[in-house]
Amino acid sequence: MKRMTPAIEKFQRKNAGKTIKVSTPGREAWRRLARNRTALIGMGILLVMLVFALLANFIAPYDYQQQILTDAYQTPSAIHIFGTDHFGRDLFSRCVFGARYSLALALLCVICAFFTGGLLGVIAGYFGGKVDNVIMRFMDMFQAIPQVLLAISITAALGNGVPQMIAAITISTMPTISKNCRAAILNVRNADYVESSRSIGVGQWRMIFKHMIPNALGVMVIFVVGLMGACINMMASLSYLGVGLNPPTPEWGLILSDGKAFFTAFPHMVLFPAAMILLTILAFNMLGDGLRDAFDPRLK
Amino acid sequence: MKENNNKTVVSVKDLCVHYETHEGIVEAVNGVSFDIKKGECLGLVGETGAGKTTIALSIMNLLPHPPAHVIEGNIDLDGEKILSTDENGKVTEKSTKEMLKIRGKKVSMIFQDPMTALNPVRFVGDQIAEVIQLHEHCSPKDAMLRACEMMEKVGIMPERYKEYPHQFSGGMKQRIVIAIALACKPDLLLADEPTTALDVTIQAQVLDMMRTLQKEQETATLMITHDLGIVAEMCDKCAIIYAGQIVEYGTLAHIFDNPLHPYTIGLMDSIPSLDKDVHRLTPIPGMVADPMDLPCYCSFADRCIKCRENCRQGDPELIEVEPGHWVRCFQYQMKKGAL
Amino acid sequence: MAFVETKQLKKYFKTPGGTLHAVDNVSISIEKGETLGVVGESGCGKSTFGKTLMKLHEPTSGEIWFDGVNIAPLGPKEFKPYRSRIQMIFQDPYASLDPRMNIRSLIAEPLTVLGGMKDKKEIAKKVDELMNSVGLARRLGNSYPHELDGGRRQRIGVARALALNPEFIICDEPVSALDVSIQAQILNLLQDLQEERGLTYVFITHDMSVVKHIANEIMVMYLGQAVEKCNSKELFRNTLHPYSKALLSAIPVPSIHVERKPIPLQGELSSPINPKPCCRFAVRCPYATDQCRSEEPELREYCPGHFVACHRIGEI
Repeated sequence: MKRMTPAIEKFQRKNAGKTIKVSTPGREAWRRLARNRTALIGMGILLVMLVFALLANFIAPYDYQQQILTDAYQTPSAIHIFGTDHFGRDLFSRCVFGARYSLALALLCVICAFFTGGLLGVIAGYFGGKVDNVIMRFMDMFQAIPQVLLAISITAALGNGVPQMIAAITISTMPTISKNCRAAILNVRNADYVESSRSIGVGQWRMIFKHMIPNALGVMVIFVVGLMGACINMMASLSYLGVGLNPPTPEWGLILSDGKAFFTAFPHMVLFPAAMILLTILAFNMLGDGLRDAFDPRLK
Repeated sequence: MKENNNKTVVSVKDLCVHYETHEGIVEAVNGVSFDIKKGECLGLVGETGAGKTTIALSIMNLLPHPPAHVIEGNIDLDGEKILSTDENGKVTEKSTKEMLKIRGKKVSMIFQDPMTALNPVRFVGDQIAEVIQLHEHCSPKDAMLRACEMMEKVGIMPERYKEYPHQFSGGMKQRIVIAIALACKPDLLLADEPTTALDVTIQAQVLDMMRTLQKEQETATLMITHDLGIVAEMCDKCAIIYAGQIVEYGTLAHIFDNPLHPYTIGLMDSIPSLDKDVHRLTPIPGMVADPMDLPCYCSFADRCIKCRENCRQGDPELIEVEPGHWVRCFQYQMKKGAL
Repeated sequence: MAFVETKQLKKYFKTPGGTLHAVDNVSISIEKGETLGVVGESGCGKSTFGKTLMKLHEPTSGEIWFDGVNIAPLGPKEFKPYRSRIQMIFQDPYASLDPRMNIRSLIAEPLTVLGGMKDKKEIAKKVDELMNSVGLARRLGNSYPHELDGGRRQRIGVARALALNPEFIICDEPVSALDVSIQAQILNLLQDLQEERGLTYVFITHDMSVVKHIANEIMVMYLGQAVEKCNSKELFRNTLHPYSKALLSAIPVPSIHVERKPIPLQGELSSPINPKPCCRFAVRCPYATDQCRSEEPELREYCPGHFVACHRIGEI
């Protein structure tokens, strides 16, 4: 029996005339994500950062390495909205270009880490047994060293620079990635539908690529998003400690490091790059949480 | 309904609960009324999504808000108004604080899955003693003694007081859950599919034990199940529920020997029988009604083999066809009207 | 030789606690077009038996004869032609379908993978045929499993199993996750398909009334072993093994005129890890003697066609 409660009427009004679309699991997850306010805020911030990164040349009012010594140490104003640093470089321009460096490098790191650690994890999870044991003990060895320490020692050995830093971050995050991917695959491997596919004769490769990876993808996407934040964090830390990129690269960690000497007199030199780092990491985490809720069928 | 000298323990009236989700409104319970008297066991039979668990959770006042939304209804548990609706349609629920005193003491619930109902890091005995101490305000030592007594009653040696839930098998865990539920001699026990997760031979043991305890403590029981066999064994009365409405209500003799609602008859025919040889079963056609999309006429009409034109024109009412036997179907409504 | 036979089939698993004898010396034979019901409680090895039969698990030892060939020692390549002839319907229609594939591709998967069909039109035609024969409306083709109810999902499972025209289907508790009214629909569907196509079934279930309804032959399993095996009618008329008796008497009957007297069983099911040489049911059996506790009973033919594994048969 249909009882016309206000809620039902409202629902019917809202949905009147809407055509019903086929709902794939992916679309459902997307719909849930679109309703999640936290995730939307995160996405909004990331979108701004992405626009900064892609259109840095048009958005930045100045060249990021142009030094105008007469304009040094300026506090935020209409001309330099984030102020200038001790060389008279426009901080806003540097931060905008920093978005390009930080996001691109973080993405590169994540991709590299996924192709090494992720693949190893998938292999370990799928084959199990000895393969699993060897790979996982190897990863345990890496994990015994604190992540930042490992990254610092790698850059210390290889020197400063973009490829060196990517290598450092890739190697130090590899254990966590491989363990997460392994868990995701293990979870799917024991699912009934995998067995049901085996019974109709589905082979190994089709099983991995058609059934297991697509189903583990949700968990992996959540993990990638979280990892982006972690990579930005680590990159900034390395640069701040002086073992990451070389100046005058407008990397947020470097800008922060440059400003730290003048923190008491000119706090804006530290606060703005720090805020950029903070906001980006926060945004990635918010989006990651939202994705987790969207993909997790238990909360449905 | 049938008069009895015993007092009514719980009375549910016109309960109507909806879940408001983003996908739509789930009309889980649509006007359910029943009474359970002291010492009586009412079986609530229905399929997935029929609203059985929602009814039990409403009595416990454990509905998740949101998405659950009580549209109207009155639940009176031994003088305590758990849920009430005034003339203007405003629904008041008992506060969580007051409910704490009622749950476990006046009403207890047994859930389907015994694995998740126990705290894995505490001794099972302590978990029983905790409830007793909470409600009876006795000393820890007394509570412990009574917990041991309770363990013996449900068929577990009191020597196992200091063991953890994982050391028990599924059937044993369910016994402990039952011991916790009955420790304070509640007036009402809500058993939500208590044996569905158990094997047949274990189920028989647990049911026997429950029946003995129920008779001994004279607990009014609401037995939620999908198995008519359990009802025949445990209950005094039976309510068949479909799409959030009671479609037939009566004593066991009414339901099993003289089922009247087409759904009840259909259910009986779809169960393979141990005594008779039937070559083909006669299933109920179609699918279980979707509580998100109920028709504005009789919810069962679309699956009913006896459906006639007027069945799609309105919603039938629950009418008493013989003393104590109620049916919600137009067939009988008309007969009654003709008389 | 019967169409499907197993001889002393064993499947052991290594666990941290020892060797789990999941299936121990089980021998069956099923004629073409017949149904063998396998009943037992959880952990009795009935599902493992089914999965070993179709080589989802490699048997530890023993023979599986299918249509005159012993398929037990065959490697994956040699087994491939048999894969399409032996199919399985799974218990949980919620978990056994890949949530990321729609109905049509789920049903088409066996056709492309094992059947080697490439022509899209041909596949579409065959999928339509299959959906029709299991009673799925064509409009559902593009939906995903999560949008359907249990009964329809199980129909997809049946369609997948039927896709390659198998001769032998192992049904692993196909109706236990379904509502009663839907359960009857699926049982009828399975019966119709058997009659139409002459299928041979192994029907695994814990529900005595379901197995009585669908099976010609019934095997009762307890902790990895067959304890009683005979014609369905014979089992219900003349139950011999104390476990089968207890199992039968424990079922709640939906009638108020049947007075049920359950045979009390002590204790609970254990698991067959490193079993001692004794009757595995002896710990729970009300009739157990010292002989039962020290000697393993053999499955003997007590009367023609009725096999029982019990020392005290005839006395109780």
